[in-house]
Amino acid sequence: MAKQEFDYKKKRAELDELLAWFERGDVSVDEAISKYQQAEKLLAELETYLAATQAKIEILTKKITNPE
Amino acid sequence: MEQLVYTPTDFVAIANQSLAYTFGIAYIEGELANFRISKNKWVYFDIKDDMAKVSCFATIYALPGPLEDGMLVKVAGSPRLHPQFGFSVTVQSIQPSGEGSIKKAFDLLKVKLESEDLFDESRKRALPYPPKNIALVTSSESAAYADFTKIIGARWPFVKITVYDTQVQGEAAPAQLAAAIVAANNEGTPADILVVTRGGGSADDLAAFNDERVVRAIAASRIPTLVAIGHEVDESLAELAADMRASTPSNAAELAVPDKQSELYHIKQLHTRFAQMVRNEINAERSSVQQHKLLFAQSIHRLLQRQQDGLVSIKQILSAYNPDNVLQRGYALVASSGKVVRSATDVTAGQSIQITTAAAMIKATVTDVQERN
Repeated sequence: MAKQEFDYKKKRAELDELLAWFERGDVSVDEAISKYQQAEKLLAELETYLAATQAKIEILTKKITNPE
Repeated sequence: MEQLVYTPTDFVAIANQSLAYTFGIAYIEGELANFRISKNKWVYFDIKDDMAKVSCFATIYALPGPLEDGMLVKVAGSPRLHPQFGFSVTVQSIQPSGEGSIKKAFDLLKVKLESEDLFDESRKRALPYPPKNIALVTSSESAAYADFTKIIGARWPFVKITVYDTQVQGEAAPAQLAAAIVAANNEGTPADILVVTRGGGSADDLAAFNDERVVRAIAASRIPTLVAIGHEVDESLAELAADMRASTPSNAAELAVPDKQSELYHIKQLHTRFAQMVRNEINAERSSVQQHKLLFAQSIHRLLQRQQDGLVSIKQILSAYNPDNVLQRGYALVASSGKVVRSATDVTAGQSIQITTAAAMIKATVTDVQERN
């Protein structure tokens, strides 16, 4: 795999983790700012991915005939 | 005219040729009788009506599920004259026929598979969401296929769909469907979810999805399964065995993937929320810093005050020791050679001494010294 595929599920999970971190409260400002920067980066990536207008499902068909 | 006389072997061979020529595959519908399974592999039964009965032979792999005598069934098979055992139809497929039999077969199989916990809730797995790869088992010419792919395309066009194109009704359907499910599972990189679907139809049309082979293939799938057969009201055993059931092919597409637009909206909302949270955090920290600043100022002030109070009392104590204050009251300090005279032995007559009063320094000579008391 030469090209790294965009993993929506993974990035979305990372975002949820950051959200949970913030919601836990009791956080340091330094961390909060760095986590916010991470979240912003993720959000931007996810937005760009979702907004891609040229995205199109790829369909491959395999014919199944009678076995035996 | 010469009479044609056959050996039994020739007769059987020629009879079989004629049967093959005449029928090829014969379809026979009738009542099932004398149904029995031998060695869990071979199946023998008769198919009959009021006037006639036909012996049939099949392997267990051709069965759609448990069957019972009295059911109306339709078989497809080749009539054959066996050299040892006589005439029978070698059955390729056998399907319950007519509403009553279809229902009966459904109930029998349901009870059987239920007893194996194949429909158990505890077996159900969560579907990976959103999936990147979908294996779709259906007929590529069906409305179900068109609906499913159209809705996926509109909602979440980021997936790859591998279609396993099979028949979804008719005698060949069960074996093809089961083979397709196995094929999807055997891919080098299996899909994230396996969708099996077809649109609505008569009980007969949907029979393949109540076939034991198909239901078992779904239950055995390592890829989590999403099955949607017929309309909302139709309940198939394939759906009961699936990890997730959808009411229609369109509904399956809706359950399989998120909607891009609502996801985008949600992401935008999250953006605002994150910004608010970090702002709150900074504000909270700022007010905490302010508060600390105030506390520090207060405690430094208190510290200085205490120091000042201490100095004042020390000053008071010190002033009590100031000799000047004593001299002011009329006392004098007597010293000889720089040392304060305290006892009679410190000076002798004739020695010079210095007397210090509040206002004067006096030099004098001692004329007499006596011990006091």
